[in-house]
Amino acid sequence: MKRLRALVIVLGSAALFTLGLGWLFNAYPMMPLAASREAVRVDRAFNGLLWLSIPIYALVMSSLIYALFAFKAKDESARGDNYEHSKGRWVESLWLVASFILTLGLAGFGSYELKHILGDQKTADMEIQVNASQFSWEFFYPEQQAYKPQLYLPVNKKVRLVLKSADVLHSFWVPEFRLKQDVLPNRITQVVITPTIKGDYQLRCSELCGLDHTVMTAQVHVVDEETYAQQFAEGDSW
Amino acid sequence: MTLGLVRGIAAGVAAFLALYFGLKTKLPQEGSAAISYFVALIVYLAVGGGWAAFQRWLNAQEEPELHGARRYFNFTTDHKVVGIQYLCAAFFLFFYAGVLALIMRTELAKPGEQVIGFQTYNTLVGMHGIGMVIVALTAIIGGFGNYFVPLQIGAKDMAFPRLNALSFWLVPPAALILIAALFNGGVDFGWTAYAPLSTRGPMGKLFFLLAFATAGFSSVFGAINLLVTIIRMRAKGLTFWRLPIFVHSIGASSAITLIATSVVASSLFLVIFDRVLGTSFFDATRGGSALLYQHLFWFYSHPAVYIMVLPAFGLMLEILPVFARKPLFIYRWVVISFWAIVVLSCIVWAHHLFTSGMWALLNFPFMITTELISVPTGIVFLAALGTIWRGSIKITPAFLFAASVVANFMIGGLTGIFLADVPTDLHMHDTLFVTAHFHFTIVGAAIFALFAGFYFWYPKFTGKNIDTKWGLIHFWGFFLSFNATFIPMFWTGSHGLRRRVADYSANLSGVQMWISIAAFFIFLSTLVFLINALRSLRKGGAAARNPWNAGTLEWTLSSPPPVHNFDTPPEVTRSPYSPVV
Repeated sequence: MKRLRALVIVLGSAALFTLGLGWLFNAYPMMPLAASREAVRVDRAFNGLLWLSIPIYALVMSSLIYALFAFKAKDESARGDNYEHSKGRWVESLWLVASFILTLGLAGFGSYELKHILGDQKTADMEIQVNASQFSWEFFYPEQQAYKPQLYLPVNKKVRLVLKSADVLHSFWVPEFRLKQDVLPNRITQVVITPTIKGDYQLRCSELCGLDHTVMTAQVHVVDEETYAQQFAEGDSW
Repeated sequence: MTLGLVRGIAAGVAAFLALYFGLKTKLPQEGSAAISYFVALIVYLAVGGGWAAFQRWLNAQEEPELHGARRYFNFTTDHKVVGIQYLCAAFFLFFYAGVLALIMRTELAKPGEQVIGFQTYNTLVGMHGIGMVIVALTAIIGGFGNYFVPLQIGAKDMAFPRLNALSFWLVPPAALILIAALFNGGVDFGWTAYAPLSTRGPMGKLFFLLAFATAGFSSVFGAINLLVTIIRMRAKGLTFWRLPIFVHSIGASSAITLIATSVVASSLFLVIFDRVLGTSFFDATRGGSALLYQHLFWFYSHPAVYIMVLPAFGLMLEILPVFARKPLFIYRWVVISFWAIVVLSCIVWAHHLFTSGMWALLNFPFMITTELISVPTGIVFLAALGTIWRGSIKITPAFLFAASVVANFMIGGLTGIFLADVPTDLHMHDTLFVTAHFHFTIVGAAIFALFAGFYFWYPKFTGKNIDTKWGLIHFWGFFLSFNATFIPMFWTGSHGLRRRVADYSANLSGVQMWISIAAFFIFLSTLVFLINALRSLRKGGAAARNPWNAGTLEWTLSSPPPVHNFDTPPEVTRSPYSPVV
């Protein structure tokens, strides 16, 4: 009877806890605007993990808090139960098997999403070169043979960004596009992004690159084809 | 002077300055600094008491017994003194790095530049990081490990008492040269010192590398000593399956130290060679590799987090049964899990490199191994829950700090899945999300367990009782402000706040102000702890032999224990956690 009551209380409060956290993450979303096709996939992976971890967290925390209240010592000399493992060891066996299956499931889910992200990186409609150096960014547009200090991207075009560093490690990251890629001095790396929402974003170097790492940012403009073409028609904009 | 430590430091500093300014005219600046440092290190050790100890060893003389406060400042082989030395050094560094964090939080309270410039901020990030890493690596292992492992296994001292002293004595020079780095151009590479950034720039970086390497040697010496002690010095009848869980955790974490630390120490030396000798291991412009350093560094530094948290798990599971008045749940499963963590921790390092540009297919195996670690870790937390379940719980500061490791590590562990998962890590990597995650795992486990152990063993190592009421105030203050500080960082991180930057967009300013205020409450609660700990030394009243009714061997001794621990070698006939009859 007592065990049943404990089970009901723990599971009940875990369910309430899950609902509460679910409401919270709905009201205050964890991810910023998803402004690229790749971002949608990353967000799906994120939400999958979030909805898996919330119930686990709720269950463990409800058990912990319940135990703190329900099993408080009545008096100084009181002793707890004497067991060293559960009867027939079924609790720990279940926990072990469940966590093992869960982990493999997670790894499978992650591998599946990653496989698609990597697959998407293979083709692109156009190419822009990104040159990083302490502490600035420079963009070379091969089609127009033009250098610019800002990154212009035509909306809904799959663009391959070819990344090079002149000195130390840097990292290419626009939070709204999600994908992040380090920029190396002795090797070319690349990231393929399809921006889907017009607007202004900020490129942030996200690999500590020296004293002025903080200010190593650049403007990113996602514009329609016409505006994109105009950028280069107006002559050298810098 | 009777204080060997002071004498040694004075001689070491003098030797360094004399040699450095003498050599600087003939050699490149960094070369002369490196040579001067190693010579000064030997001078410091010799003058501080090492030469006398060496002579005593040559002449087969006994180590003298030192008494009073003086012994903490002298070269001594008593493991209990070494433990207290470690503990004090760790708390000193904890406050130093904590104050740096407060300065950083003041800068971050509002967007734009506040009290310090962006560049100074950058240096403080690295100093705070390496300072706290050394705290997390040494406080429990060096402090409690040295003090309580020999007591818990019924030994008179460590297996290699002189090596033990040496491993502590390497900590002060590491701390000093680290502080000196601040005044020699600082460091701009965080605590990770990624090459090629670390192969160029001011001499402060060389000092940082020397400090890190010195701390690495100290760590390896300590690990050898603890492992041999655990294997060779156990009391009669203290079999593998009767060892206290804290001893198991120290053994497992020492094994990781031995496997991994030499790798990071050698990679630090490669960076030093690049700077001083003109080699080019990491300098891409001269044919080096920009990625190699990251592999070498994380081959140690990911296992290092398990060096920090395994003893925390051990302490948590040592303390919970005592206050729940119950045997430890699934003891053997936990021990096996510890060793599973040892093995797995060595094959996960490249999860720090998902965005680095390494071969893309490597992402898959490292994602899988990383997520597999949650299986043995899960067993540890099932053991914690199962231990307090149906117990008879006495709420004390030690118990609350131990139990809150579960609460903190749930957040730290579950958010770790988002970082182990490559698709989400591509977004979260190098953001405040990571910062929040590792503070929940390292502070949430290692520092909370450090406090738990402190309240638990305070009566034993001081002989005085620590005030419970102020202990509870410390706990609630620390626990609540810790969560209030670090939970919002997950949100700011995923919304675009990078790690190690001093400025941010205006839309984050409300959250940032909140975090900064909460951070000050962490500091306040730590002050409560400090005052309580010092005040109880005077007013605590004599502690009983076994105030908590615990079953491990250290509680059979007087508080504090006598110099040579056990008059008659103890004999063990049962597990400390076997059911109470």
